[in-house]
Amino acid sequence: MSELSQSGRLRTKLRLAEPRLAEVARRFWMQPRLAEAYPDFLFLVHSMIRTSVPLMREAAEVARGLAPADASGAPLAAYYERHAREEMHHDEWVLDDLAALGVGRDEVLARRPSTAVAALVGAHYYWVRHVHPVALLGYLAVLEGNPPDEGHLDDVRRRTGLPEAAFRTLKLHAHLDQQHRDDLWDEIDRLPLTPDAAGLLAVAAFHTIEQVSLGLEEILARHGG
Amino acid sequence: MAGNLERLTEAGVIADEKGLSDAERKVLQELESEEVDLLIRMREKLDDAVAQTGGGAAGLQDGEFQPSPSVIV
Repeated sequence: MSELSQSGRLRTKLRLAEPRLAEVARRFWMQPRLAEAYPDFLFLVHSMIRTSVPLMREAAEVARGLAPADASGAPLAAYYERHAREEMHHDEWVLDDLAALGVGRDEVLARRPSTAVAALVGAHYYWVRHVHPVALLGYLAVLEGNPPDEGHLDDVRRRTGLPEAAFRTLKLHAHLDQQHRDDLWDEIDRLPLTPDAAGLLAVAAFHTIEQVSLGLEEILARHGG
Repeated sequence: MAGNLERLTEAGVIADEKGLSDAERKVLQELESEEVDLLIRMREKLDDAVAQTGGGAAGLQDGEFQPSPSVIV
């Protein structure tokens, strides 16, 4: 029997958890009042995306401090530093998309994010600082592991009648995340992961699926979906 | 005490254990109890949502749904 790679093992676990998010996401995208809910979705995206670079920088710093005693420290630090650079200013893209919908930057920044986002991002700060920075790979595996589909985005735009400019971030990530996903799987396969670290990675990924699902359910409830 | 595969199948997390490859089966047999507990809890929430909304997951095929929130980072 051939053994699965480390990323293959993670993907096997994720396949069992993903239906939870897929079901909520399907309801979200199929709701009749999607045009009204879409700005709230972009706000949810912004709430999370604004934390990505600071989270990865924090994880890089902690990982660097683990080396050389922990063999995963140096490669993790290098990966997070590189990926933080790739993700810089993506929060600004979302603000531009919201502006295309008439939602101003000040309005976005003044709005309180969902507790689901706080629970998601806060848990990762905790794991990074107090357990192991490998946890953040679980977060990234969920959020970058399934790149958006451009055809679906075109369909949403047609159904909602919303301007093309409101989909710029999603469209760009339809391309970018394919490479980011492949880079992430490669990184996970190269890391010297202990069984404990692999378990933490999966728990962090499951937590990400749950909290993003809750965030989408909040939007659905707000719009009667 | 039931093993991971039995618990996951009973909870509906695994639809058909026979569809698993040997390598996948090994991964699932070696899951930590916390991983199994989380998977079962998420499945329960999924089942609750389907019961409340009257559809959804039951008809969802693998790969059918593409618009993931992967754009978030």
